[in-house]
Amino acid sequence: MNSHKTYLGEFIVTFGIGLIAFLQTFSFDDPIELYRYGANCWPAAIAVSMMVCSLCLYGYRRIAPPSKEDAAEDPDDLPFRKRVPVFVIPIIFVLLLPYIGFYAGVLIFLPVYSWFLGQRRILKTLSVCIPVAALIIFIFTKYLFVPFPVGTWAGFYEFNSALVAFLY
Amino acid sequence: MEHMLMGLQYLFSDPFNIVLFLAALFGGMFFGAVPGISVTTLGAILLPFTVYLTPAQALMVYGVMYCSGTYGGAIMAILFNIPGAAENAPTAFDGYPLTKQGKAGLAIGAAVTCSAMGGLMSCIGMMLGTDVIARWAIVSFGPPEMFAVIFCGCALASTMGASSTLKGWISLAFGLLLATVGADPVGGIFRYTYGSVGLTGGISFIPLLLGFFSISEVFANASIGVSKENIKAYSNVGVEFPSLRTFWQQRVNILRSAGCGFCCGMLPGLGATLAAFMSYGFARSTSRNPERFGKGELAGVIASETGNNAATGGAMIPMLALGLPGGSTTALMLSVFLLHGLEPGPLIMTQQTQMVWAVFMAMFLANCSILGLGYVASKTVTSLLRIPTSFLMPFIFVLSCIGTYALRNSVFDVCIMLVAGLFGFLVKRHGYSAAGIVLGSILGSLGEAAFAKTMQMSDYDWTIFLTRPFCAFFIGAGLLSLGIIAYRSLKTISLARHH
Repeated sequence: MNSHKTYLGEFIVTFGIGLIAFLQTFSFDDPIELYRYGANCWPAAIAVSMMVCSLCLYGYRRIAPPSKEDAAEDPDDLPFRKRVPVFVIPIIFVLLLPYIGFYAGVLIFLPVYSWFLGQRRILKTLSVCIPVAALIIFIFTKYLFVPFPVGTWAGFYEFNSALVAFLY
Repeated sequence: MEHMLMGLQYLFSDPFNIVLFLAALFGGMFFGAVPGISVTTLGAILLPFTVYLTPAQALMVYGVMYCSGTYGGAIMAILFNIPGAAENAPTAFDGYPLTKQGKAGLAIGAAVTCSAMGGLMSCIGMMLGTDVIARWAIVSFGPPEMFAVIFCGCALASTMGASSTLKGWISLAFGLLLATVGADPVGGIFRYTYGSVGLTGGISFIPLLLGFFSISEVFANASIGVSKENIKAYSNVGVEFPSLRTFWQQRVNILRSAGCGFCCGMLPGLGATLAAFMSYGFARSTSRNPERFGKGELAGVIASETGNNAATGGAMIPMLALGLPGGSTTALMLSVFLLHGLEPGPLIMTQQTQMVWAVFMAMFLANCSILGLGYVASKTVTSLLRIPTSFLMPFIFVLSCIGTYALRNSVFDVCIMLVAGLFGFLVKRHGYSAAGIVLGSILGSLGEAAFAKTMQMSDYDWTIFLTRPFCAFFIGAGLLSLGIIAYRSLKTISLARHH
């Protein structure tokens, strides 16, 4: 029963993506003078193909026995409460990147993420992560001229700008 | 022969040329190995500095970087399932399962040797055929042929990395849909942008590649408990070259992959990525045991690495003889021509013979060097396996963010990468193909543009795909491939129902 719920969920997602994409093509079906098929035919054809394949897959799964490869859970997975930070911390880092800047962000992110991934010795974590972060910042800023964001929040902007000025 | 000697003489006449050769060899391999920071990034950074070099030196640097960079991405693909570039993605399909089986050394040894062999064969083809092939291509290769090759590539690669045929096709369709975001190639009408400035430029394949492969792998590794037994098993990895018997058994695979890679490399815009996927697809389609592919089949690693390195020589042909770049690295090489006031074209072979043959010989030596370099570098890179996951995964995440951000200096691309990473994590768990999505996103826009041009030039006559021989061959090959895949799937289904 659980597998049938999974199949139904997958079908809803894949068929839904195709359906939404197909319906959206009507919003850009303006004719193009030089091209008979316009801007919408190509994505519409792909969306319809996706819907057909989703339908066939769901139909097959309704009549075929469950397959081992359809198992979604890995038995080696960490407990749910330990898995949450694995996904949440990178999301927070990326969302805050324009505000706190890359330089301060990396210096904070690396030790924090390592901590949540299992490193429990604070001194060791800091002694590895901070020099590596500094090396990455040095190489990519000084020699590869990548213009990382310096942030907009007070404190972080000053820190990042001072670091960039120091490197140059 | 005298041209080869002329090229060698130029190469070794100045010690500075040797220094440049070695720097390009190691730099290309390093940048090729780091996810997101590709040889193209290194090439773009070095471009202004090539003003201080002679044209031959500058082109030699880029040619050597191209060869070593294409190989470099294989190591990370095999050890961590994180391909350094799109052309190394098929290597991960079987290379990573081999690592999990404790055969990482064998996979790396095969990748090293086959990269060198593919590169050497394509170098020979490049030396012998640049002039002739360029003259043929200018007359016979157009948008219909481009579309046909893309169709064939998609058909062959559609089910790679997926647990079933239909899931592979769904993944490819999703990738093709992602490629339609942004302005359409004919009328410039915005599609699926929802008023977002970030989406009007389209979704680049680099954030998708890094997201679906690198970030999803970071999430996958971080969300399982890595046992001490696993760390012990990985810590003793050494490079192990396959036996001569293995190479003899795989001779057809190697030759076919080299030919496929060389031909794909010549196609403007497609290059090594399509070469790797098509070579892998052919190897799987023609294998007696296709079900073993994706579970640690060495032939898959051999096909992919031979194909993608064989594309390097092929990509030089349209660049030198026609001024058409075969990929992003050759596009940078074209810029070198312009910086030095040279004009690529059919006359380059006669007017700049020494320069051209110096580049050819440098690439030839680079491919020879991959054997030794690959062995030394692999020993260094495999030591990365000893780094705890709790340190390694955050480093890889940050490097991927940098690689994505550096593309267009856009945090939006980093957000796309993250979303792709989350989606890729779920997609892989349910048996869909991340590689199919990435391949669709790469080939989708090229395919649509080629299709639109074909329809316009043929006045919407679809039979043009059948009346042009090259085109008909690839359309037929693609349809045949789809038919074989569908037949095998139906056969598996009926056997399963019978049992």
